[in-house]
Amino acid sequence: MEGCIRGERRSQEALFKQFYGKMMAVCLRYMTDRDTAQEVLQEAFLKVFDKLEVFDFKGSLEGWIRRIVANTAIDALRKAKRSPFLSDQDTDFKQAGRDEMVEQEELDLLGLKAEVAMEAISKLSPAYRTVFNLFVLEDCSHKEIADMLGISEGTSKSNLAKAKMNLQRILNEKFIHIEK
Amino acid sequence: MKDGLENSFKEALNNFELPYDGQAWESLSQKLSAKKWYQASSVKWSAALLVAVGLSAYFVINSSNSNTAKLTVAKTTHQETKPTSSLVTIQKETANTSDVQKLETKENGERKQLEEVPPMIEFISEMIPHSIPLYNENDMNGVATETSVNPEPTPSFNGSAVIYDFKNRCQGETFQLEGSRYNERVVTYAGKTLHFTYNEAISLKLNEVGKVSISGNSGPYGQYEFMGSFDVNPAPSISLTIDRNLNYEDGLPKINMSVDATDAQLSWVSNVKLDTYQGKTSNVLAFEKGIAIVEVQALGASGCKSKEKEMISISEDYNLLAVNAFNPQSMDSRNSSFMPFALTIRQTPFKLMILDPDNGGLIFQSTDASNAWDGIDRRDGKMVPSNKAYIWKVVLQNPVAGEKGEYRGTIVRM
Repeated sequence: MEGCIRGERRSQEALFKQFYGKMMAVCLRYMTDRDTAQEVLQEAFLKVFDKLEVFDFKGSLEGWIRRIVANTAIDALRKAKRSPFLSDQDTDFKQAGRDEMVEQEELDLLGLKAEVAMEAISKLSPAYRTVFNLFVLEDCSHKEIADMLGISEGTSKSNLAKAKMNLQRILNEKFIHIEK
Repeated sequence: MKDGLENSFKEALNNFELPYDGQAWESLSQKLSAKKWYQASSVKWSAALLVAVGLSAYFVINSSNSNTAKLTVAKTTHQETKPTSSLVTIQKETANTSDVQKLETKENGERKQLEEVPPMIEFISEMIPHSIPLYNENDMNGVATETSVNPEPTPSFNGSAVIYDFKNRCQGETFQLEGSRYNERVVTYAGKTLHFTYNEAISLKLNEVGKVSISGNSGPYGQYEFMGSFDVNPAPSISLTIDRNLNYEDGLPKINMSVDATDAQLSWVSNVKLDTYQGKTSNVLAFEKGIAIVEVQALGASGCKSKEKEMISISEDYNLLAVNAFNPQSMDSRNSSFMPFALTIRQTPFKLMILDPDNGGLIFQSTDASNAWDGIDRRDGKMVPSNKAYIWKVVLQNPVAGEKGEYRGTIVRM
């Protein structure tokens, strides 16, 4: 019996180790604070171990774990704030002038570094960040996002647009900063 | 369609990984220790069940004054129709003898929250292993949970009583019936008699094999009449054993698995390749480092199914069991030449090439496992310089299912 438990724990550790890096990156896209991200990750893995029974072999194991992690992160955000996905103070949002925008060609040319992308995302407000993550990185539709977050599809679309505007501005500042 | 900015972010972050933090596992491991002891195996599950039954018995015996509290767990009373006081008494008495753990009811389709359950019961529900889905298990946030296999038929009203489809069911399933406006119902199952009043939904976890009989009355003062019954058929009992060590029988990386089951048709499912998908034994073909999830399903004679799932970690990539150094001068014939060990026992057509790392030249080539590389460079017939690493490459003509066709590595000539 002991051995059996040890064996199981070893597999769990191996699973955790294999996916830690990627899943921690997922958590950090939703919560900027490292400790909170760590907690969310642990909660998600407890679910993974608990719910292994329902993994149905249809998709990849990584995709399945990733969905649990993302859902756990969203739940944690939901708990932390009453309706974090609905609206945001727009105080830090301003329309970037066309000439100050980072040109897409420039982005393609330089290649966006993962660390820079993470930093830019972390500067978004939770409402924008969550929609951006779900739409762009988890490939959810606006309909799915709306259902998941309890907002309208219109809000999801507008939050995505604003997230992208802000990201443009953040990248812009970043690139100017580098040049200086 | 995603635009340029979206694609840039997706590309940048798709495979972004943070470095592993061993400390993170330490703290998760502690959390697991705190909650996992009862989940390890079916044996423990039985033990937990015994404890649970014992506790509930204790609870029933010692709490003659806490009927009300218990009733909130076992039953939710209806709100629309008010039962007469005599019926309330009957209800309490029957609930007294009921096995609290097995009986959960719902009303108006609303799932009862675990939070509403008094502490003692919460403890009991906590001990039910998660491998057996709880009826009132919380939503898994988008993760597909196993819902009840057969949707219950909608009762139809024939003027006096509600008719049900009394098909047989399997052990482990949950039997659910909506509340009825027209009659009260009495269910007998597993030696218990349970009373359900108007509009009260029935939900029974069918853990025991046997017969479920339902009677109903035709009105507040009507007679109870037998409505029908169905059998709870046994689900096959299975026990999966996994030898978690890699076993290189036939030169292939295998993890042996066997399942103990009688009178059941067995099938296997996995996210990695297995060497067979039927029968009592199977092997994981562990070609790549990572996690294998394996499930064995048993279909019993009664048509009922059981399944068991396990997670197996594969600790290393398979590379034909090749050594990384050899010494042509060695007296030991096992060390004096180079041939990846798996090729000597696999009986599979291959081509081995030894390449010069400096210029990619072909130093040696073989398609025969008995013709190993002895350290001679075929280009000039001389022994290659010592303390140098050479590249080996093997192409398999007929790799087994799930196996890549090409392997490579380095070999040091001592």
